[in-house]
Amino acid sequence: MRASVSMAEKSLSHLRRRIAEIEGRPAATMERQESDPRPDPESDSEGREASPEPAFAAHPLLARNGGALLPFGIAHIDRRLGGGLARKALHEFRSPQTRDAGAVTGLALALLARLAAADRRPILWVMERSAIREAGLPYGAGLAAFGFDPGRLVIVRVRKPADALWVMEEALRCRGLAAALGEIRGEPHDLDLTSSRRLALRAHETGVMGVLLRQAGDAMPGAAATRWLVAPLPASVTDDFAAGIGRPAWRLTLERSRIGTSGTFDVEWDNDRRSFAPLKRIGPALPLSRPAPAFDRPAFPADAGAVVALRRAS
Amino acid sequence: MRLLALDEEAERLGLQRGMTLADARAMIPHLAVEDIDEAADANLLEAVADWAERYTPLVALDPPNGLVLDITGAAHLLGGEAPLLADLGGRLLMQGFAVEAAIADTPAAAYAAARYGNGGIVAPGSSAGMLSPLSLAALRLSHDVVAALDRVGLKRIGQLLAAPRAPLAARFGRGLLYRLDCALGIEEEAISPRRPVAALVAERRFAEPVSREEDIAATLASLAAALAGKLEEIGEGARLLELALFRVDGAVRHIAVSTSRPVRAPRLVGDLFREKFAGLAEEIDAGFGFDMIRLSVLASAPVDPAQVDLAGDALAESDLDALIDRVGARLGGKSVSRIAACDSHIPEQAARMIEPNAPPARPLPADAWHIDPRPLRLFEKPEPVEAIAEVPDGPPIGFRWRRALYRVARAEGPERIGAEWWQDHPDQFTRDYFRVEDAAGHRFWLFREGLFGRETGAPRWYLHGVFA
Repeated sequence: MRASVSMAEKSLSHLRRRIAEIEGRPAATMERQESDPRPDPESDSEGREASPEPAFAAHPLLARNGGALLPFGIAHIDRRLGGGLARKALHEFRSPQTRDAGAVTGLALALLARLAAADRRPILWVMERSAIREAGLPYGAGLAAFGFDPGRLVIVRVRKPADALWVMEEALRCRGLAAALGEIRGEPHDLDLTSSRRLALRAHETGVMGVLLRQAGDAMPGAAATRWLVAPLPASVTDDFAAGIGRPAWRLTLERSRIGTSGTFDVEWDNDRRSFAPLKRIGPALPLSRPAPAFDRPAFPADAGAVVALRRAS
Repeated sequence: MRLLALDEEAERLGLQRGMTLADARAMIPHLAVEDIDEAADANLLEAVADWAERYTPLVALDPPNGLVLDITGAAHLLGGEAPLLADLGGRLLMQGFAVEAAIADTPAAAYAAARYGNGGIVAPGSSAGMLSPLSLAALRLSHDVVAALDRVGLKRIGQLLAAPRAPLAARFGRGLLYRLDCALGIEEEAISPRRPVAALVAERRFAEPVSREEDIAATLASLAAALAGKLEEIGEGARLLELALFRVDGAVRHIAVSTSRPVRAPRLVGDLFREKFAGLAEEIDAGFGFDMIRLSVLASAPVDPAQVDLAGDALAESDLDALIDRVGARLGGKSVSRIAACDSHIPEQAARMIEPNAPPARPLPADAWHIDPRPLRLFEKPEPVEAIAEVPDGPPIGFRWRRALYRVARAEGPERIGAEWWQDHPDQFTRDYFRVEDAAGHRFWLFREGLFGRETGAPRWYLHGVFA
């Protein structure tokens, strides 16, 4: 009985490896969920063709998997992903509302900042005009403060989603880039299974990491290797400034992944060390933190009529 | 109302230019009359000038109804001056124009021969003989000079040529002699072409007009190859290329492509034009076909030899450059940019978008970026919000943005950013920036514009950017 069970398991794992080879992704990821994460020597159905350029393999960030995976740096997340995000693939990050645009942008840029530390090549960001109107343009000073070098970015502004997808496909074919980030708003017709599969194929061919940023979008079928829902979380408190807002924090929900896992993770981003950390405690949601009133001012404001700074925005 | 232009039939029936409409209608009751449309005539002249560029790029307008072409060195392409004149006259006739054309040594002589003489080819050196019997108006002199000469009894150019020069100059001005000398070729007179003359040109004429995309693409490839050879000799690459497609019926289409770095590989040139065609708003209408295609290099720049390795393959950086050029060709040059730091404390001016291959204006130090917290994304124009805040300089406790209400849980600030006092803008207010977070974790960058009490009694609030 035992022998037949173990034989069945063996043939099952052999079948898994074969399927993984056909589909071109690391086979060992599926078996590794249950066991501890350790560099699996059999994971070179992917590694063989990865042929990592010396720049990345040497970097400690990516050394473990031969440069094929970008890890979060948090053990349980990487475990769920099978080591990290595949670099030769398309990943989708979406936020349900426009007001969360900052959060999803932050998460995508945090990941790309980690990639940029290892890969010297520029990163292309194509933005749709409606996305720019709703959430703004990338700001150099803010990117630098976040840990991402703005000089590495090439920004393309387009008018229609179809143009954005075309630029992204062309960018994924260009070996001079480390990653291509495409920002699209809503659920356009042009972003269907076919176009998403094409993007995924391109990413796989050239090794340029594809990141699809969906602003104010509902879940849509797609061919991305991983699909994430990003929501912001109140930042925790930094040690030296009790009343201040700490590091950016998000709630990530892995909705779909190639290897079938999912989960919800709360993380925060340390821009100095360029690393993620699990969120220890959620910052105070209430009560209102107000600065102490100045003592050198009179108790009552000078008579100024309608004092409250409410102005009809017109 | 007077008649300004007639067709042959009307002339044959006895009508003349300058006749009043009433007289003309009296003579010929069924006369068809149209109002003059100067704008349309000018456009037509421009279109014909575009077409005439198939013979030479040096085409100038001679309004209201003429063109001047400098065919120095271009006549041999059609087998000589006579075939060129015949070709030109024939094609224009086919397009429905009545033509008077002449070829001469100088623009002035050609003008005189075409408009006042018999046209045709004036043999080199025989301009004087051709000009002699013509009236003085053929020299494009002003009316008063012509009238003055007429009073003295000089009516023909031949008489002017025979008269002594010094008294003429003294009496009628040097301009008269200048015109005469230009016509004879003693003085240089150059025409000013309408469009910039290209440094390098490759063209191909077709006996059988082409209209299929593949044929055009193949022609483009071979023209690009011809230009590549010449560019390589001078060690340069093209920065601005123009493709001119000449239709058999006379319409001309110009399509230009610019690149961020010099290119000469035919494959890259073909890619750029292919993207440009794909991105055109309307399809290129070939009509009955194109009978000439010309590729010109309007701007070039030296090529850095380090960009190309021995095999001639593009390196990784130029892969990105090629991508930028293709995207620019298809979507417009302004669509691709990079971010550069600027030396300003005003947030919206601290960073700007520059052309992807532009060198940095001034080298800024490595830590040129501000160290204080700044939002990841900035709105192009700060969005007005309605906020409730403590006066005079407290943080907002709640605000309404895009019709949604946000309650602020935490706020950092204010960071006071004053207007640039060295620029004289009396209406620029000081801004107090706050980094606020709401209960859900959305983090925004708000500012109050105007110090309460000191600068304005009713400060406005704006949302400038979003944080991660």
